Amino acid sequence: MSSLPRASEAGSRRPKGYLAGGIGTVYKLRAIRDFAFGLSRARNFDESLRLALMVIMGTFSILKGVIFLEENGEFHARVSRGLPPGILPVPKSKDLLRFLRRTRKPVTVRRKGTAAVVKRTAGELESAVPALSAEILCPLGTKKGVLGILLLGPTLTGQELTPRQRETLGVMASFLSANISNHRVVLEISSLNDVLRVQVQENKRLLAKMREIYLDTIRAFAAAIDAKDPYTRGHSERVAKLSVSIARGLGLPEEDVQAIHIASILHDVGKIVTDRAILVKSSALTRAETRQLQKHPKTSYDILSEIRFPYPDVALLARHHHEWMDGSGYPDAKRDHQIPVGARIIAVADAFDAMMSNRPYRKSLPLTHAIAEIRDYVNHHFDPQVARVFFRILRKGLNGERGKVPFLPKEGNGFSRREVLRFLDGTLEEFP
Amino acid sequence: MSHLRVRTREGGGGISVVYVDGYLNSLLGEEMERAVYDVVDAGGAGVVLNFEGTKLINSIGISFVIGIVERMRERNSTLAFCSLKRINQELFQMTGVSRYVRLFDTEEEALVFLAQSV
Repeated sequence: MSSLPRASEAGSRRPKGYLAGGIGTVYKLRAIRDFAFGLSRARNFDESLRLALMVIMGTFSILKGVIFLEENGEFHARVSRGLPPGILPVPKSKDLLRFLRRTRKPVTVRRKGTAAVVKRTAGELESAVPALSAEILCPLGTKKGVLGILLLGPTLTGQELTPRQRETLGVMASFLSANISNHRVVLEISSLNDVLRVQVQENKRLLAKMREIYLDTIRAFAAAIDAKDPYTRGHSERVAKLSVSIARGLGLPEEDVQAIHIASILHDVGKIVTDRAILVKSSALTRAETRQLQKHPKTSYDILSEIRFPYPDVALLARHHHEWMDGSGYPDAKRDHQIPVGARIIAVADAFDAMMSNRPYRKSLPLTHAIAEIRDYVNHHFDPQVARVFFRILRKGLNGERGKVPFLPKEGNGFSRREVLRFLDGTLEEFP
Repeated sequence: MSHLRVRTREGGGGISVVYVDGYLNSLLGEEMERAVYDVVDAGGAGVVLNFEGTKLINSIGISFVIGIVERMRERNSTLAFCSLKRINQELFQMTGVSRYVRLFDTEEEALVFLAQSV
């Protein structure tokens, strides 16, 4: 610019008042504020770099500048001003790295006493940006390592930066380095997030598969029990479906629902030691036979408590599925809330499915009969809240809201959907 | 933008006057740069930048001004500034801009000067 004709100072006046000697400080302070604003308010990373470069160049009246960032083993020009496009990447040479590792502050290139390594570094950078005659090299980095280089050309007036100006530039460069470093951290976190997301999806898939295998094993076990009593085939699976629906209807936590699911499949596992003759007997049981049959919940408990289920109290729920609310049940004559809620649920589902199934000693009962039976034994045998949710599920099932309900009989054979619905509505009025 | 903050007026003899109103920062700087380059690219002989409505200039604004000064020099186009508020005039002195561009108190003086130099 020194070749430019100097404009006359005709229009200028000497600063007066508060501006005398103060404008430089005000401008510098404003520049630092603009710099921080530019970094924090930019819409994206490149804009933050562009604004930072412009503030630096405006503050020190510099015509040309470029920010190189280290990417994939090279230094790439990320933003530039006052320069033609097409700046080539600069390879990481020994000199360049030595300079960047050694130097923390901005250095002036064309001075007596400037280290040879600085001059060689400037030369390497200039070969990538021939339009820029490098005056100031400013390393960008943190304690963790090298991030890039800020390369600046001469000032408008051709004067060198004063030590104070270099100090201010150093402060700006350290802000800029922190901004670049933060950006890298954000990028690393987001790529790590992607890896984790894929891993989590894979884990979920494996977990779902494991749960299926686990449920299949339990179902096979239950089928073995059902096989012993041909009259109760499919009983465990139906009780499990109904129990899970009631548990969800009561809003129980998922962990409890899963425990109820397993316990309701396996609640009769103790029958494996009951004489088959008792299970298939078509006449009334003797007292001794009844005693033996009533041992099955305790036997279920003994078998299941040996297994470490991933859900709580599975064995206990099986133990108490024949306890009644008034304390007249077995094996422990527990009452009301002494009986776990899961066991109270299985009790309703078990009783309902038993009534809906053919037994050796009777045929299945009509649906309204089974509903009335449960209604009549609320508070004696059954929990009123559980019964209410059960009635609602039944109504939804009959209205077709929950698809096919496996435990309901087919239309006909004395079963009228409309009649049962009317009966259910009457029953539900008693359970507000 | 609901109102025009950078306007261009034909000042006669191929000279255009560009008015810059508001806070000369990154946004206004871009508008000003575009307006000046539009004149130069269209073969205009010279530009007067009228800063009468410029309340403040920040470092980014100075960066744009310096860029314009350099570009006009490269293209051998003439440039003058006029109607600067005192604080902006002192800023141009401090940053060295006023050494390379003539500053005038009024737009008329600037236009007369440019008409003679073109």
